Amino acid sequence: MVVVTTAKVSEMTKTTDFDVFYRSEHAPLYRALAMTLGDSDLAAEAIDEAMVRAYQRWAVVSRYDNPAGWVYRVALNWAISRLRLRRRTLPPVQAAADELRLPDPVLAEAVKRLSTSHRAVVVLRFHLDWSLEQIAAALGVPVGTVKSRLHRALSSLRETLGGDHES
Amino acid sequence: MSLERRLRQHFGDAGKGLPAPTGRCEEVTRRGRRRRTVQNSVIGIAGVVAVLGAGFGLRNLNTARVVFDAGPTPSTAAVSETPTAVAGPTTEPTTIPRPSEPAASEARPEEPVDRVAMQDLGAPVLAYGGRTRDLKVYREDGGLAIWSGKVDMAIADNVGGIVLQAGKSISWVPEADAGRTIKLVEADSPLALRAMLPDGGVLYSMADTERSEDMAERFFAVALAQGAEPQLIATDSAFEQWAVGPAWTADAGLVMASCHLMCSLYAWPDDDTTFPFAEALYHGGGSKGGPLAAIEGLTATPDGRVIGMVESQPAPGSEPPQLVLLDGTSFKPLAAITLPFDEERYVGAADVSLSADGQRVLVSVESHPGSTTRPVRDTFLIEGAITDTPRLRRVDFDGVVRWLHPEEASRQ
Repeated sequence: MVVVTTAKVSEMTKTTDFDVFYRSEHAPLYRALAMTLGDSDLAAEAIDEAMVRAYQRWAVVSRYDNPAGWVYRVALNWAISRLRLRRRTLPPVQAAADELRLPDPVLAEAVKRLSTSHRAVVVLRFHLDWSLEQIAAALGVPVGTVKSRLHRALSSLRETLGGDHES
Repeated sequence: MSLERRLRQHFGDAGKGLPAPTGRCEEVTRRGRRRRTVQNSVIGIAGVVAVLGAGFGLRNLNTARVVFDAGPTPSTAAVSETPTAVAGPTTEPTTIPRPSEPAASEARPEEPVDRVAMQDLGAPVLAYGGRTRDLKVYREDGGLAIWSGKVDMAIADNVGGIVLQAGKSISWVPEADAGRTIKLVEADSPLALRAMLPDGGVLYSMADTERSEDMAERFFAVALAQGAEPQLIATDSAFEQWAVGPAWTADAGLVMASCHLMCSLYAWPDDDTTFPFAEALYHGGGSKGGPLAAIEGLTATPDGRVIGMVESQPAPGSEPPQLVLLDGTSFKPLAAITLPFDEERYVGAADVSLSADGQRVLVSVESHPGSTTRPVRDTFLIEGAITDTPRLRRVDFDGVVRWLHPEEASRQ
């Protein structure tokens, strides 16, 4: 007879819940982070690291309004930290960031010129379709800050694109 | 097509073109379980140690428990008086020899800048780090060794002495040649000596021992006195230890750079001594109108009228680093001087020291010479920094160099 302890049942439940979360959120978060960073390898590594941390704390993280937002923030912070560390520890090499194959090169170049914080807001808003409140919670900033970043980012894009965006 | 619609379509198409993610749920949960097991084991061992320690009446339990506290606490100022490792004047050649290093022209490409010897800087300086780790004070008549061994950070105490951080301790040398050292702080967590406070105290920070996304950094002030008790004055709950500075402004307020996605300057600390702050005073990259920038070496003149720092882009392949000087009241750029590095070579870890008027600046930065994986440190003297014709020269020392008396440096 197989004896299943309470602890094992708890672990199995946790794994099942996390499994559902992982399968629904991993790919969209990876894509959003890759577009924010412009580096799909770094994004994949960062999302994995954030998912491990989410699993470690799943009892807490799963109760958040937007666990995916928590994962995105941890992954983004981890990736930026890694970028800084990479520059400290590695000899100079060609830029590691891969050029994503983007269908709209003019817009892609304009998005690339945004700051990371502005680009993150734009990607979360227009790729993941998150609300301003969700974005604010994910990035750990007030909603007003998200609004102003979004406004500035769109203004900057319009300025860079000129009349091209109305075409 | 509206911009918003175009963005949605663009991101949607771009997402389809990305390489498929390689992550597997099973691998993630396996790593998570393993980490938790290790964490629980460490907690268990620490618990056993604590119980045994209590049983045997050990006095040092705080050291064993601090890892699992909400955050590190300063140990009672471990004041001890120790003799300085080396005291008394020494004779030094004008140029610091580097016998184990190939000739400079072979080790790294030389920038077309003049060179200046330490003794010719025209004012006393502190010098440490690089291949010669000892802390020395250089005057026109040569170098005076103050500390033997590695020094992570040294600053003038503004009353003729020096405060230095070596590893997890902070010490005070009351006068440059007094021949004694007073230990102000002995910690069990990583330390960072930050600055002298306007009231004469020493500001330092301690990070949590356990690195996690919840890692906090706590800031303490300790008076320059034997037996002084460190006071907790602020906490940065940022995800990473990215706080830089602080420096104080013309109205005696403190500013600090904090980097969360982008680096900005903030008034510090806020009313409840907890980061993050309210409105940013200055966004990194503002001198170029650009967005994201790393800020390092934040400092100010003694009167706070000029703030100095080095800005660079964290991603490789971007613009070269710049020394940026700001007005200490308006936070508008006064000068932006490009340092002679390719961005690919530049590492960071910048240290900036300003003369009293902000016109003479010592900047130390690390870079990759290209022939080795170990970074080297270069120091530059910039004169006439807030003029149309700043002059940059390389200082003959491969470590950090700071003005000992900014006022004397200004008179040159």
